[in-house]
Amino acid sequence: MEEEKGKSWAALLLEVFTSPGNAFREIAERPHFWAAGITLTIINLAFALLILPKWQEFSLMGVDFTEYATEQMSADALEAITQTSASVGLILVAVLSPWVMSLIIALLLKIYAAIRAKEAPFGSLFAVGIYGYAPVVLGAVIKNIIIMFTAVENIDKVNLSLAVFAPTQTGFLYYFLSACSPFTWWSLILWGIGAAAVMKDKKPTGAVIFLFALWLIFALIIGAFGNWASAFY
Amino acid sequence: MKKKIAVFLGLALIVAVIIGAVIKSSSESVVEVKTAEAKTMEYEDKVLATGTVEVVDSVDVASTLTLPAKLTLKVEEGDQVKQGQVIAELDVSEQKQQLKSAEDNLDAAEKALANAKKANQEIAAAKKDAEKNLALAQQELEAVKALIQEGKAGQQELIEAQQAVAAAQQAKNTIEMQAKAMDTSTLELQVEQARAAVDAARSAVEKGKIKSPIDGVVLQITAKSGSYVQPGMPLITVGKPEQLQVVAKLSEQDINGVKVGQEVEVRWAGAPEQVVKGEVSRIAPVVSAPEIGQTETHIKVYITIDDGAALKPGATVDVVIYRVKPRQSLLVPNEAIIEDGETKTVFVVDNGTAKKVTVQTGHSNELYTEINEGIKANTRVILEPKEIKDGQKVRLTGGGAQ
Repeated sequence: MEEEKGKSWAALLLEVFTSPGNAFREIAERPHFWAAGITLTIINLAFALLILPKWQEFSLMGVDFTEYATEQMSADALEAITQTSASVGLILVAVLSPWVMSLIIALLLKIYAAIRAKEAPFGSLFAVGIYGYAPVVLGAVIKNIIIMFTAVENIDKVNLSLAVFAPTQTGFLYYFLSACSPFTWWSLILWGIGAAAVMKDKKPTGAVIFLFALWLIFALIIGAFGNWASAFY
Repeated sequence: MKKKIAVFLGLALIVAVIIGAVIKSSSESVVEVKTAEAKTMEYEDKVLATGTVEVVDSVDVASTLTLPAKLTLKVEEGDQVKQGQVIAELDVSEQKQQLKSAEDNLDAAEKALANAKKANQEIAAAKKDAEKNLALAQQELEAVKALIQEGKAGQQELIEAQQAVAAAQQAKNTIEMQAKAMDTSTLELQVEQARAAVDAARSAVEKGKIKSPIDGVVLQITAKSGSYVQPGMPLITVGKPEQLQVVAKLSEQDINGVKVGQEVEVRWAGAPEQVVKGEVSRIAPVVSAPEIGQTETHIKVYITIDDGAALKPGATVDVVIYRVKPRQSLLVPNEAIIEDGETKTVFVVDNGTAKKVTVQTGHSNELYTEINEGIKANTRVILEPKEIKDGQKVRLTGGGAQ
């Protein structure tokens, strides 16, 4: 999908990393998101498929299916169901996450615009969501590459967040730090810049603070919930 | 400038996170485990239950009459009684009248039999006389016949002699008929029947006297003097209160491991400061059906007690059966034990590594297992180690059972 005038979607996708202000000003003017969205989805899916065999193997680790087998469901059948569920889950997350996340971000930015009584077309905000999601996809690509070179039993330890510096893998701090990913922060900043471009603000500070505040609430909830849930295991 | 520094810091953070993730994922897998220390502690395995104090040797005395009768008590609860002592009386005036009547009947029957026997004796004497007379008449006839052949007697004498024989024969026949008519066997049967009736009436009168079947103490009286009691209804319990036992009711889960000879402690709310020692003497061979108002089945365990002075028959008591008496043992939480057929193992933590050790275990209660051999005190064992492999690196988190 080439832009009629100006830069191509591919150029914009790259410029989001190098000169996000300019890129989002152009995206705000021509909010075409399909090509970029599909590209990000394909990249996400491709790298997910690369780690699929390992992921399937990991899903069976540490589970003694004979313990759960019944007359109606043999251990082999349970194993097959678990593997299939893990595969479907991985693929669904890879395919849907760029679109769902962009939708959520667009909705939040729409609310932010409404609070500030600014005009912000939803389509433009959704395009911002798609392009701003690129760092998260980059993070997923790096993570999946690391997983490809990691022993199966350790793939749950591959984590591109500040949790890699946590002393233990339990507790509120660990789960809170798990939400502290620099790639997420990067995307949050890009979404703020994009929102400012759509709302024609001179500086993105307001939108960035708004998004970071929401993220902080989300991260605290994740920390508390993870800590609560881990008490049962 | 600030923007450049921010970008630089951001990139540095990303690089740091990536490096951290690579290092962490390539490091040896470390599993977080909960552990507990093997400790030498007091170990015991006991079963708690409730039971009832019962007298070992006791008898319920009831009315054996066939009809309801008025009761008169001769003892009170707590009285010492001897075997055969009358402890209550039932009103048997009706039975006494029946006895009197039966005795009269017997008397009459005996008299009739005596008269008949006397008459028989007289007939026997008359029969002898008649036989004698017949023999004489026949001798006379033979003598007359001889005289006629000699010509010394005539036909007249022969006819007279023949008539004398016929008369003697007639007399004998008559007496024999009388003797046959005087058969005393019927009268003897009547006497026997009358005697049996007397015995039955006397027995009924005797049953009015309720006697203690054993030496002992009147433990319980369940009827009042003056009341009419039904046949078969227990009236008085006599027993030996110095010989008590406790009957405990154990659930099917708790009976496991309970054996004859195990020590028992009995406590009664009526004497809470006293602990009565006892011993399991018998375990019921069947599971008893639930009692009225209850849903759980139970198994009766009989406990002999050393000194029951502090207890009272019928009391509900708390029973502690020691499957294992308190003793010092090396213990680990049950969650640390892995059973693989006959072999039992634990994982111990040795310099951050899980090490599988075969152990010999003793008894287990609901929390702990005794370790007889395999590990020493203060060894740290991994709890719920199902997914741990021998030689696995582990990191300790939290504490286990204390």
